[in-house]
Formats: sequence, structure tokens, C-alpha cells
Amino acid sequence: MSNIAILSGKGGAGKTLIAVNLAYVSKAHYLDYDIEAPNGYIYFKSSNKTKINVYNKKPKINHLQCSSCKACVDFCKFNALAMILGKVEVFLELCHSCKACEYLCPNNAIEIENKKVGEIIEYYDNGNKISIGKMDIGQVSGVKILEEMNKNLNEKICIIDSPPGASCSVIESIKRADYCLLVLEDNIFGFSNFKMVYKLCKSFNKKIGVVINKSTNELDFFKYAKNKNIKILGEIPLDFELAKHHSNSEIVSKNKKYFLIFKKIFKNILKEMEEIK
Amino acid sequence: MKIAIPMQKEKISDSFGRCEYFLITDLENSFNKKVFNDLQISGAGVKSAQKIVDEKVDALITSKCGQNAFMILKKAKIKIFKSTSKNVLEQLNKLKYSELENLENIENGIQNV
Repeated sequence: MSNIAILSGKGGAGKTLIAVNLAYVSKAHYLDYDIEAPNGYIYFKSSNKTKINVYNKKPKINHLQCSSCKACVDFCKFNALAMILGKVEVFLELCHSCKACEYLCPNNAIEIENKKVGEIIEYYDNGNKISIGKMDIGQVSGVKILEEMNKNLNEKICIIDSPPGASCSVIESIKRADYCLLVLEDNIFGFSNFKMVYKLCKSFNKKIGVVINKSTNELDFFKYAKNKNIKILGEIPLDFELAKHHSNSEIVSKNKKYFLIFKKIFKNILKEMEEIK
Repeated sequence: MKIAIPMQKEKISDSFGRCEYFLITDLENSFNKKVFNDLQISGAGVKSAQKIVDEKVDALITSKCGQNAFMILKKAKIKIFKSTSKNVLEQLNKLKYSELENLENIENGIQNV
């Protein structure tokens, strides 16, 4: 089993382009971890989709049984509970579902309820298995969805399309990855955010490779990479045709010319992963 | 009337939830008590509001207040007044002569997600 996470600090750097196309050329399991704004489903189509709801565990107070002892309020590390005039109030958006309040309550006045946080949509498109994580509107944190998706990384090759940045959900995408592929957008903004994610992946001791997207040689990245001993696995040129096809929700690798670019990147990743073993 | 004021050193704090301590006093400043605030990873407003409620104060003078804290203070029937400067004695004096307005603008707060 090999899990490859596709990451970048900056949004719009080309994570989805690369993840979708790597999954396509390798017939891998594609997982969209960008739960706040998933878009992988635009490229992989199917009319036969399965939805699995994901729930968070949240406390519900039975006020009749509550003796106002404050044990739960005093313990809660996220300050999701408050005691106002003898009555416990719950702030659901601050709760991290640790269930300590239920455990601590001497009167069994706390019941744990399932609150829907989002869903995982699963389907097949030709040779690809697809999983899309989707957070419900109004929810604050969807890490639970990613924890559930992390349990489903059972295929031979899984391509994880991570959200941008270096937030909790990005950390969740890295956790079970065997290889982190960082997408670098070839400009100063892209480079600055690249360094952030690079540091994050390093702190998890992950094997890292880089693909330069929209390559115009604006940055002298090769020199930086050589100094830091970072492997560059491929370059995707700044190509109007490619951008046009991708924007029209086509998998660009269906075109032979682009297929070869992504196939080569994929082979390079496998070669790198061989070295780990 | 027992009054709470979020403080940073000797001045009124710019933040309610993340102030250094709460000064508990009355209109004449006849007594002083410091209730220290500790650093919170999340829900600083809730924690601070809880401290104020536990002190059984009647009023709060603050420059800002977030949504969660506001809700708690309202339910506990604590009056919230908006400070107009950082000087404690001056603000107490203003409150004494009913020159402070009720705080109505609730900050969205900085949620630590």
C-alpha cells in the first residue's frame, strides 16, 4: 500500500490538476481531502454514487439530572461549556468531541449525541475509485471526516488531494501518507507558501518530492532545491491549452501529450518510494 | 455595585477574553481584587465570562466583547458597558454619572479553529 499526499501551501497551485491526473494515469484510488471546497468530482464522473454520513460526538445536558457541580465546565480544555446561574450551556462550535464531560459527570446528566458534520461520497469512474469528503455548510471543523477517510486508505495506491495551507486538515492528510508530493507554483507567492508546507512535512519525517507547476523559470528553484537536497520529480509548463482543458473539467491526461508528463511524474514517485523500502 | 474590568497592566485591556487579569471593584474604587486570566487554546471568551459570572459582579466595563461571552453575560444578567478610554478611575467616574453606554456591537471574535 502506498499513500501519496499532494500538497501545496498556496491555493490554486495545481494540487487537484496533479492529483486527478496522477490518479488517472495510475488507476489509483483518488481521495479529495479538501472538504471545505471539494472539486475532484468535477473530473471523475458517475451517476452511481454512495453517500456515507459522518457524525461528531457532542454533549447534550439533561438539566433535570444535573447537580451544577461544575466538574465538566472546569475540565473542558476547549472551554465549550459554561455554568450560568446553575445551568450548563454548551458551545457546540468549540467542542472537540473528546467526551470527557460525559465521563466526568457524577450524575450521568450528559448524553453524547451524534451531530452530522459532513459526508463521504464514494463511486467508481472507469478504473478509478473515488472518495470525496464534503463538510456541511456552517460547520467549523471537519477533521472527523478526514479521520474517517484515513481509515479507507486500503487500495494499492491512494492519491490524497489535500486542502491548501498548513491547517489541521492538512495535517490529517499527511498523517497516513507514505510520500508527500509538494506542488510549487513558479512565483514568489508560491515559493513562500511552499516553504511553510515543506517545514510541516519535514516535521512529520515524511519523504518529500516537488513538482513545479506553471513553470516559467521565474524562480531559481533548482538552486534552492540542490542546496536543501529536495528532489524535483517533474515540471509542468505554463501551457494555455492545458489550462483550458482543465478548466473545462476534462482530465488533461486523456490527451497523449499530457499523459506522458504525468506518467513520468508518477514513475518518479514510485522510484523514490522504492528507495524508502 | 460590583464591577469587573479586563486589564492589561494598569490600563483597560483591548481584549476581553485575552486580557491579563480582571479588576473587581466598585464605583468608589473602595476595594480592589485581581482575578488572573490564563492563556487559553480555545474559548477564551467563554472562560473569561465564566470567571466574571463566578465573581457575581453586576456590571462589566470593556472595550470589546465576543459573541459567546456576550451570550453568557446576558444570561447571567450582567450589564455590559463600553469603555471610552483606557483609564480605570476615569471610566468608573463616568459610569457613576451614567455617562457610559451599553455595549451593543458584538465582535465576531477570533475563533481558534
